[in-house]
Amino acid sequence: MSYKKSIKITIVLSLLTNFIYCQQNLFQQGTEFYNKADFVSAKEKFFELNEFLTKNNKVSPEVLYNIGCCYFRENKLGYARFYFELAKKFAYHDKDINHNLRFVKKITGNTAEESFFIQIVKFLSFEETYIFMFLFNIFFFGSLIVENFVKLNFLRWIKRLSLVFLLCFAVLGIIRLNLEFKKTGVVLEPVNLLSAPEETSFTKSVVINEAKKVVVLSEKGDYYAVYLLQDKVQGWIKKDKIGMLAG
Amino acid sequence: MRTKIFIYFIVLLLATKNFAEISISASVDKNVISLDEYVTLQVVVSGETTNVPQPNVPQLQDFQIYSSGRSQSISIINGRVSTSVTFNYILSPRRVGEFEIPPISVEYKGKIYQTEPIKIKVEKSVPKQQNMPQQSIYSTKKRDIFVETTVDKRTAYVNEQITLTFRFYTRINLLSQPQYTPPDTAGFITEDLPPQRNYYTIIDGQRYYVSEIKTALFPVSVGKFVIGPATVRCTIEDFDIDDFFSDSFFRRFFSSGREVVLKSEPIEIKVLSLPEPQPELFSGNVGKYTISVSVDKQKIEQNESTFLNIKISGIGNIKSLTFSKSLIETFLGKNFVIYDPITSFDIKKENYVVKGSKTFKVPISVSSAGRFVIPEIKFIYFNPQTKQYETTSSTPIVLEVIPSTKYQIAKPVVSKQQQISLEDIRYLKTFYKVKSKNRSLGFYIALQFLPFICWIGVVGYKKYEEKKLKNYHKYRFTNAYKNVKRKLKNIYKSKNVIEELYNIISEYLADKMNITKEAVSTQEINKFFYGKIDTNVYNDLISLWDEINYYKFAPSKIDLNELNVIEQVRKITNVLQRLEYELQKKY
Repeated sequence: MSYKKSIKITIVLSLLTNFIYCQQNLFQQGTEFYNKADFVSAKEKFFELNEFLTKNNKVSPEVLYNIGCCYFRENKLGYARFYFELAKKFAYHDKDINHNLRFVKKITGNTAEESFFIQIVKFLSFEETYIFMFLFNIFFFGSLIVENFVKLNFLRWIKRLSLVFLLCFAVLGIIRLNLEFKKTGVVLEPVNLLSAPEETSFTKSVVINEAKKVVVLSEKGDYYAVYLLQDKVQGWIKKDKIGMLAG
Repeated sequence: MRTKIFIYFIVLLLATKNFAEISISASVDKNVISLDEYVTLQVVVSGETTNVPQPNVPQLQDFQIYSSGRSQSISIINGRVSTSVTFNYILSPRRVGEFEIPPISVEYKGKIYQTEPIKIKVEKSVPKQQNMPQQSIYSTKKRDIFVETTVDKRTAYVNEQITLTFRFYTRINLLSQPQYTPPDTAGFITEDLPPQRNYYTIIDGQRYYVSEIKTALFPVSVGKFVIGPATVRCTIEDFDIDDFFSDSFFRRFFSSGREVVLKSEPIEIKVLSLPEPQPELFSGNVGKYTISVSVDKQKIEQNESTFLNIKISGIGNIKSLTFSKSLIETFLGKNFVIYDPITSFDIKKENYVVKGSKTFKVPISVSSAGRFVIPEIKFIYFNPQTKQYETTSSTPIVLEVIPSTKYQIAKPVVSKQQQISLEDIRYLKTFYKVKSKNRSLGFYIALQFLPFICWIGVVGYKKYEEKKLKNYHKYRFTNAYKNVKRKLKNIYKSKNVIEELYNIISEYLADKMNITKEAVSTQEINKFFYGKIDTNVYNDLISLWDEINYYKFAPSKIDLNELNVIEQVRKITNVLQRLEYELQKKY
């Protein structure tokens, strides 16, 4: 190995180590601030880390979860829910994330946002639903392929069963896809629900509490037309009061 | 060494003492007010305990004090509980002057903590300056546009709902969105009553478009109060609607309109005091309510806590409903250990009436085993409809307390802080993993087509094979030359060139004539090709075949080392190429 090459490798390695150390350090500092009940400083550290990861097109559900915890301690439940929801997108079955999300929904009275059917659909993540669909796809088309070469009795049963499951998962997959690309958001702070996309005394209808989940129907200027899942009402809300989750 | 341990012990003791300390602070929203206004006093008591004591607010000669509820936040970090309770009071001044709210104190573990005194200056109530120029108040003979405010009652009891209705009437086009300024409601707690109504009405034969805004007012003290004028500022068309032929009608196309300010009349409200004598357990709640009591768990262990849920539902100022801890202690008796309640409320504003429920979640526990009855809990309120004090009661609940599996009865009872187990969020993540931000959703969707494509491929291949079998002769005939070219390319790798050349040519001819390789002979070639192709090509083919046969069957007569393979391959290619051309012409 040439002298120049070894210097280059050393520089790259030291930079990489430094990056990893910086990340780890920010995470530790955030945790320490949190333990000292300095949630604002803790949040800043986790935000810094999250920003660093985002720049590198990366994300950490644990960092998002910790930001949510800081917001919760600051009693900003809208922001807390938003970050827990974001964290859930990348760690669907994480027990802590799900517990905190359930807890925030419970204390903000948003437990009946989704129907029982949607809750069942959401039992599996988008990726899991499509992996199951793929498996049944393989079983079904695999049995069709094998049938071309060998005639086996049990293949008929595999074909029928896998077709039933494949159709079920296809339906689930379509609904899941629809849910995944539906424009949804979380109300970050208490905000006026307006009857038109402008805020005057005549357009105010009701104050919406934070942490409510909304479906964004359309947008105009600085406002989103939203549908509140829990309260089943529609109206306009300022864009900066909603944290967008998907779509 | 012993001295060191002793010092550590002392430091530890001091630290524990620090943790147990609480703090108190008080603040007011304004220090200078007029006689008809009120001050909101906020007392915050916080500390690392769940059992934050109630502050002692001293009797104030110069103010009437009303409690307007409390809010509490509890946080548990690494098992350490810290609570912050905010007690809200409304102070209504009795006279003009400069007054001082003396220190508000709180007693905790024998130690008294107190706030700094707060100075408040009360000035004479001055009629509000009318900033709007008089001429700007728009009022025409025909009343094209006007506003009014009405109340459902002009006399009410303290904390009774008064519904203030503001209406904006117009029968002309507005050139701007009207700007509404609500009236001055000093002396009242206000609550918006959505939704705003819009409808048409006919007054004196004229059809008006009406926008209606309602507000609930709850008076905070006894006396006479004035609801100030509500104003609407808007721009209207600057022309006479009936004067069609005048210049002004045409001028409207070029006019930017005229701004007008509309004001409603002030309304005087008389607030009555609640009738005397007041019942013993009455705590100032006004409205119409029912009480329901439940427990989260009916079977608990000794010293284990459960929530006693006291839910007051009905019509009235839900936010300021009070149900003090001392009142709960009065009902429950000494068998129960009671902690500070956590309150939550759910307000509905159906039909422009403030209603809903307020829930007091009281953590309770019992130190001895057995069956305990939570007796009926009474809630006394003043009903302004019947003008009487009414009582609503809950049904008794039996609480079964089983001996503790965690604590031995002989041992001293653990502290209150340790007993309480409140639900909380989970602790921070102590490590983290990094993932790619892009979720490859498209990949998962595309994956679903893979088995289908495989199946289509297999079916297609099978069909192709079937087709091939059905027309095998044609297949052999068509592909014969292609096979020869392929095989001739690899001839140099072969160990037995003569054998390989013979096989290539005989296979080619067999494919063309649809016979087996072994059946190829000069006679068969003659039979198949003679007269069908050019004579020169035919002759060259026969001589090639003879030559190859000669090499194959009389190898001893030739020197293999002298055999030029390249030349032979070129020769074969040439003959077969021409033959192929001839056959293509024919077939």
